[in-house]
Amino acid sequence: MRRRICPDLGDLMAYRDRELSEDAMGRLREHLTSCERCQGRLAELASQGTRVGSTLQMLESAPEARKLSLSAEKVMALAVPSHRKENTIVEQKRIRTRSIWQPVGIAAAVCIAMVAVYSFAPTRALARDLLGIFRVRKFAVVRLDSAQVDQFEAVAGQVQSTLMPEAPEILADEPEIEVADLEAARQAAGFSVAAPSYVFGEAVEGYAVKGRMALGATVEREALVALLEMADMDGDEIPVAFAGGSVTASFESCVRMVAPSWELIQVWKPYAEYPTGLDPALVGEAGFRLIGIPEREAQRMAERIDWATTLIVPIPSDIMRVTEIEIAGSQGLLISSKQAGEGLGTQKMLIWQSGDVLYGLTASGMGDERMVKIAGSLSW
Amino acid sequence: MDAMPIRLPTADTLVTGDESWLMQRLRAGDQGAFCVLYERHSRRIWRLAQRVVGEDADDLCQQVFLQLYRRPPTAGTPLAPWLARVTINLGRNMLRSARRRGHYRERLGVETRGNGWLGASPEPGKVAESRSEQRIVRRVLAELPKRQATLLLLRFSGYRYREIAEALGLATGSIGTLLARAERAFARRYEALAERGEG
Repeated sequence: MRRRICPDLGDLMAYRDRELSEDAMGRLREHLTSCERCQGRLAELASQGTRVGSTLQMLESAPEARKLSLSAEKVMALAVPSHRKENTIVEQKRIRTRSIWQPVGIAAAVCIAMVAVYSFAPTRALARDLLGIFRVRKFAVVRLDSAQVDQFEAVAGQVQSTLMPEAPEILADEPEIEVADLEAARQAAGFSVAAPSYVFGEAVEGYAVKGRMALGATVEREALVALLEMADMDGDEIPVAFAGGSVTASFESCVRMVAPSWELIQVWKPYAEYPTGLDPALVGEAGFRLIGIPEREAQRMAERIDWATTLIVPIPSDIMRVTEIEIAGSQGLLISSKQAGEGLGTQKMLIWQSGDVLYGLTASGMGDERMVKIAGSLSW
Repeated sequence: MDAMPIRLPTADTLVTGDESWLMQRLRAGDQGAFCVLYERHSRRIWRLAQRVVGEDADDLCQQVFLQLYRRPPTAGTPLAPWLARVTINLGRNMLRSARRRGHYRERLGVETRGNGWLGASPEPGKVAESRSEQRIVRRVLAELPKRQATLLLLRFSGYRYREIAEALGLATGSIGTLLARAERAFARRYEALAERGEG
């Protein structure tokens, strides 16, 4: 049936721009077949739209050559008000996790910085992909009981070989050099190295500075899917659009200050970068489940962690003890062995963060109070 | 098989799905949600920003997403139109201050860039042809009523009628007519200026 009433201008425009419902499009199309006047009106609108569109396109200067140089991370870095940047306690969340932590000299510093990526690789390394950049702002302790440690041991190798079949590539590894004093350490390290004023009369015996270190590894989508499936989760939860990408972990420099009964490590800008497009909580949840944390709990923990800023510190709770301590307004963790004389012996480690520096104080046979006092006496 | 537990939104949801959930997460301070929203909207906003402020599009984008991060819209506000409105408003502010700067620069003898559709300030010296055409386009937009200019910028940056209506506080049903008039006004004015070779 022919329609006598012609569509108004708005409807014709909406037809031109495909903004009508399918039904309405159909009705108008039908009208057009029999109304020359409207055909003419539509042709005119179409030509007008094309002209205006191509003229306005001129405003887009060399569109192929240009692209947005901004990133979400940059916006967030600009946006984070100072109180959120520095107050690491406010959003602290207590959680529990996996993997065994082994403090060993300079490696401990690297371990602190990289624990999220490599020591803790299977769960964590892949986990924060969405965030692009990981900066340590706070710590989350994940306590593992012996069954969970065993479970982790049982799957760790498989997870590792699934996720990162090739060893991480060393992108930068500047040598460690010994320097004469604090001033020389500051110059060599390029940041404001702190020194404790409370040292029990012990003189610092030496300073060592290690330059930039960076490691990179590629993570494939298939590997993540496999990880999820190992954790009894649906591998299809990894977005199809996510093709994988590289993970890099780095620090700009690291200073080691050695005294007879303690050692202070300062790691500057311990960051990790990840490919974008993946929900970190999802991979984190897989990690938690792999070590035997019940499904609900794993989900809850993964969701609560701020994956962009939280360094996961896995603690085997049967052999290690961890206490949360405040160091000069920042959250710190005091980690010690429960079994004196075995393994870690009486070694303790206190880790905390301030600004862009991650601090680690290790000591042997020292009381907790003393360690906290040393840490609290740092000055710049 | 055990019954499936209640699940969090999946990664697929993050990429393709529920924006109101992401907005809820963003309001709770979730940076991940911000990243997803940014990935989803930044390209489009940047295209719009280019049309609004020209070479300062990156700066405008930054301001827009900073506002989203710091002060996200209240629950129930559709994000795309909100971002478009913020882009247009902040873009106008930027151009106003650029014009003020340009005024002082000219007085100091410093060349201005003549950016933006509200800018329309004459650019001294030799300019590329495309720059000259751009200037004409911007001048025309600057001379149109604001609503018409905004309608054109949004439509030709890929916004749907529904989003334009939301951004401008208009009824969706009125967009077609208003857009047709805006196009006509733009085309006439542009052709007249281009013929005279004015910019």
